[in-house]
Amino acid sequence: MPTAVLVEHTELDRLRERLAEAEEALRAIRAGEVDALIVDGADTPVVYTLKNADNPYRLLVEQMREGALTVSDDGVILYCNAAFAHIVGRRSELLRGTYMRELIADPADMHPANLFPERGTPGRDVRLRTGSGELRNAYISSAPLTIEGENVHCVVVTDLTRQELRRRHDAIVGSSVDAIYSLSLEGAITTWNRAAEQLYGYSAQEILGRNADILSPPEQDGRTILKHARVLEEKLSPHETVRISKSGQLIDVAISVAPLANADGDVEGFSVIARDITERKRAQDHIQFLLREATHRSKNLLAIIQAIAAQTARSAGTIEQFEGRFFQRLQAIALCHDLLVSEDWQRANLADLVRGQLSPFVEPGLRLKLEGPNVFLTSEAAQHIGLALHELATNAMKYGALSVPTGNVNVTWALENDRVDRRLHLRWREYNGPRVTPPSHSGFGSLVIDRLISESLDGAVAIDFRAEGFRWSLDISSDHIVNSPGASYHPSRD
Amino acid sequence: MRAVANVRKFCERELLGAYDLEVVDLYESPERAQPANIIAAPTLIRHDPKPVKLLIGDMSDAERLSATIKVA
Repeated sequence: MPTAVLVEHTELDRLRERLAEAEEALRAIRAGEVDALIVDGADTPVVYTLKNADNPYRLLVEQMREGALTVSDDGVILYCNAAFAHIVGRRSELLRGTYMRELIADPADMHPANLFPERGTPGRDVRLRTGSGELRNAYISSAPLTIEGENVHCVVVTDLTRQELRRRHDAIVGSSVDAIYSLSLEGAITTWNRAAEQLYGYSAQEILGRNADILSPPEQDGRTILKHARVLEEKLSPHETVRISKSGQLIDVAISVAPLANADGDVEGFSVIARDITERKRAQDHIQFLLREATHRSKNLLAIIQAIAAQTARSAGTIEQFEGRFFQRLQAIALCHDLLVSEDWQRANLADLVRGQLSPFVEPGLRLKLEGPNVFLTSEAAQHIGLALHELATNAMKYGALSVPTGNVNVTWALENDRVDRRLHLRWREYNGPRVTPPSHSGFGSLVIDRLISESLDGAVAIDFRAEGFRWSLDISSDHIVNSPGASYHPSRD
Repeated sequence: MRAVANVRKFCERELLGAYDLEVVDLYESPERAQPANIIAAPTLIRHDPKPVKLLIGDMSDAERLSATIKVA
């Protein structure tokens, strides 16, 4: 019967389709293409996961920086992520199935009511015991969950040690006197501390994101980032270079570069420490200057000593006489040098020079009066005037006012303006000594106080052997004076 | 996730946008499985045109997908 045959065919086709569907379902399950099966439950169908349909969520939890775990009502760890295992320094597969309280250091925190407070209660700080026995501060918060009819707690653990380290690191970098900044692999500035702001003049706001090349002077070729990479490759220690500030000022800096790696060890950029070495450079230059000066002065000194020895020998009658005069003169020179050394070879105070040169003969007081403004002499002027004062005092001691108890000496000086120049007048006057008669011959002393000093300092000397007391005066340009009003500063004139 | 991406890509390419695709998350709405006779996930159901056709799996096989979705 055609109708029955048609019905049979239709039924057969339907059954074939159902069979094809069932075979297709079996094939998909066998091929692992099915994530879940849907089974009839008491009220609604229940979804049974066959494979990692929850993979994305699991990955998310695994990748979290915070520790995450599920803990049963009685405190057994059912699951924990890698971050939690890392915080407590244990392997996650060994943590699962253990009691969470075994990881808590303080007994008060072990109680489930404290560990898993009611929903909505803020978390608490606890100390966790790591695998190596070390204690680690952490912040724990939890929320109750129901999984497959079981009450569990979802716990999130934040490592406060890391935060603390970060805080400390920020404090150190923030208060560092060295400029500390970091760069991306492309050279963009990613962090910038306060010292960097002060050194370079750029605020963090205006420089973050800009390329570090703006800190290099235009005459420096090549990209900063490539140079940093080269420094690392060649393992160079801190190197000195020049950088340019926002205002265009060149700064001498010592630069240290270190690679910045992420948690996986991949280099993501560089950290740079720049130390301002302007002061050190200046100090080095000053030392160089002093060394040059010392060499120069030593040569001068030897020439002076040679001349003194020769001249003293010429006027001395005996070896003893020579020895006495020669050593006194050496002492006079040594005193000048002491004064100069105490002022970095730059200058000597005139009052100190007078007091020092006369101290072997007479102390300031009734017999010696000093008067004059605060004047500093150049090193050259100090040596010549010092030697002259020595010779004047020696003469006064032998023949003049200091040879008798009643005699006295006045040493005065003044800065005076003439038509073209400001000049220093130094005067030596003796009173109440024996009656003065001009000497019949002139020795080395006369040479020093007259010709030597006038020629060396391009000055004018006046000598007056007046009967009531010897007088000597020197008039020199203020070029021989340093750090005095109206005087110019010449650190190395000779 | 991969199944959804595969179907979406296939439909865009083969049907040139002339289709409606509804994605149902059975974890969120398991009650929608029963009326549709769904026993496994992911399952693709072609409602229109009739007859209704089902495909189970990750939808990575373009031939099967074509046989299910395309009108002969």
